[in-house]
Amino acid sequence: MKRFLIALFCTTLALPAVAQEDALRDLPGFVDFGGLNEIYGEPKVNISIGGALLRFVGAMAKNEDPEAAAIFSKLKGVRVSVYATGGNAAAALDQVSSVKKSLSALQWAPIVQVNDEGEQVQIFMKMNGEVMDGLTLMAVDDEEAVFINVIGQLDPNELAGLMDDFDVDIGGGLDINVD
Amino acid sequence: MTDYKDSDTDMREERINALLDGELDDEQAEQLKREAMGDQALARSIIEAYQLQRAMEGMRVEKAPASLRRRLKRIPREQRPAYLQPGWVTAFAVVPLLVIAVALMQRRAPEPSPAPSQPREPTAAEVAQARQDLAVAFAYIDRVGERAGNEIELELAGEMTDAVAGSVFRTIQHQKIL
Amino acid sequence: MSREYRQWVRDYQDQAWNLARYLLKDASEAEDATQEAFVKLWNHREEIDPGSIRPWLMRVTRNHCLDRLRRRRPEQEFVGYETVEERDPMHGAEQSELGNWLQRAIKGLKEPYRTLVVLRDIQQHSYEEVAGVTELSLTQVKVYLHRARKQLREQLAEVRP
Repeated sequence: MKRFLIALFCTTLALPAVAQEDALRDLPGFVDFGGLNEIYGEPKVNISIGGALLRFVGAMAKNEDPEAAAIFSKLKGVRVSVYATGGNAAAALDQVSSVKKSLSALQWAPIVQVNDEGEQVQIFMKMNGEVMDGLTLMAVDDEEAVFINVIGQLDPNELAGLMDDFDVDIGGGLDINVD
Repeated sequence: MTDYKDSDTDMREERINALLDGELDDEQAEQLKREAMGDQALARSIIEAYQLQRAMEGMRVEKAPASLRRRLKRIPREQRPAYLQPGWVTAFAVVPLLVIAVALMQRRAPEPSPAPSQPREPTAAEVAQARQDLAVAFAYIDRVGERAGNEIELELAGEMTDAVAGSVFRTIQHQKIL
Repeated sequence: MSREYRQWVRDYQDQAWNLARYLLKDASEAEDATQEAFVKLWNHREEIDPGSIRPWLMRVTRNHCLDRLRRRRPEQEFVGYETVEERDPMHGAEQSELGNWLQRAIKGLKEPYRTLVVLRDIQQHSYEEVAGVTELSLTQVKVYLHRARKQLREQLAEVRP
């Protein structure tokens, strides 16, 4: 009985994350990175935050930082998956190539493409006229494979300012300071 | 370490190690083995030498930790002299490349439409978790941007060095060594 | 040149780190010494014969380690030699007892025996390379290596039935 309740509790916790991801899929800036779980196991970082939650995060800061609130109100989703490649980046590099092809077919514009032996950095942007629908970043080396998808209207200058408010060190572990 | 001239022990050890290293010809190897058949101590030494050699060959070379690998990759950027860094390369080093590249391509976004009404208000815990998650997300965005900036900086600065200041740079380096 | 440097990092970082760990026994110091060696490699990359990068780097790494050892105060003795793997509870299942014993025995060797064993017997450098790294003659390398191996064999004979 206890095991059943624990399993039910875990499933309940997982539902909101899955529901957020599903809600983002129909947005034009969404990117399907595929799955690398079978090769690398569970990602060490798996984040999916939808527009509603982002607006609430911004709303909480509205009195102190109305600019941040405005930025958050324009974001529709932030998704991050990070896998530990453990010295075997081949599968992740193949996945990046596959996603690149999809993005090109869907009219995403490449911003940065860095290819080196065993390493890649790829940054793409999705424009809709004068408005940006999404941003995609992929970086793979022999330590980790990072997949990032930011969905929504994004002004990079505003993003830089917002990032300054979040002081993090993810070098060896996760050491986070949030203002 | 003082006198390394061969003693009898050293000579015997030299032959045993030469056998292990495959440096004895067939005749010399056979001679040593014949001696070992009549000399228990020599035979034991040869067997132990083989055992030790196999054991050490099987020892793994420890992989450099991730922290060290990151430090080694950053060296070219950290070691570049200031006089070889024009302003725009420094800008790449200071600001995430992502921000610059996207800013060049994008015009100012129009004013956002009002946020739609939400079916359910998230709990305080969910919002707090979202803020933590955003901090991690931004850190990774920053890291990817910085990596892209590093790679391009290395390539561009390398070309610059070769094309513009290569001979001057090398002269200065030579003078530093002398 | 930056591509070449990155290739050198990939090819030699483990060996340089490995040598520094055996010599210094302290992970943090070994990282610093290895980084110093690679800084020198970067700064002198134009002058080094591309075919001699590995022995050059290993020599510089060793020299940096020896400098640090000389600067150490006598009370700064590092008794333990704990690899990253050994902190893993699963490590004992993978590394043989003999391997663990050998690691400790090698770290107990005096210089230059320790360097010679690490470079020749563990990392499989040629005798000529080992001579270049340690700045000893080929004859010296062979004789000292023989003595180091004999010492290890004798220690091994004491612990094994």
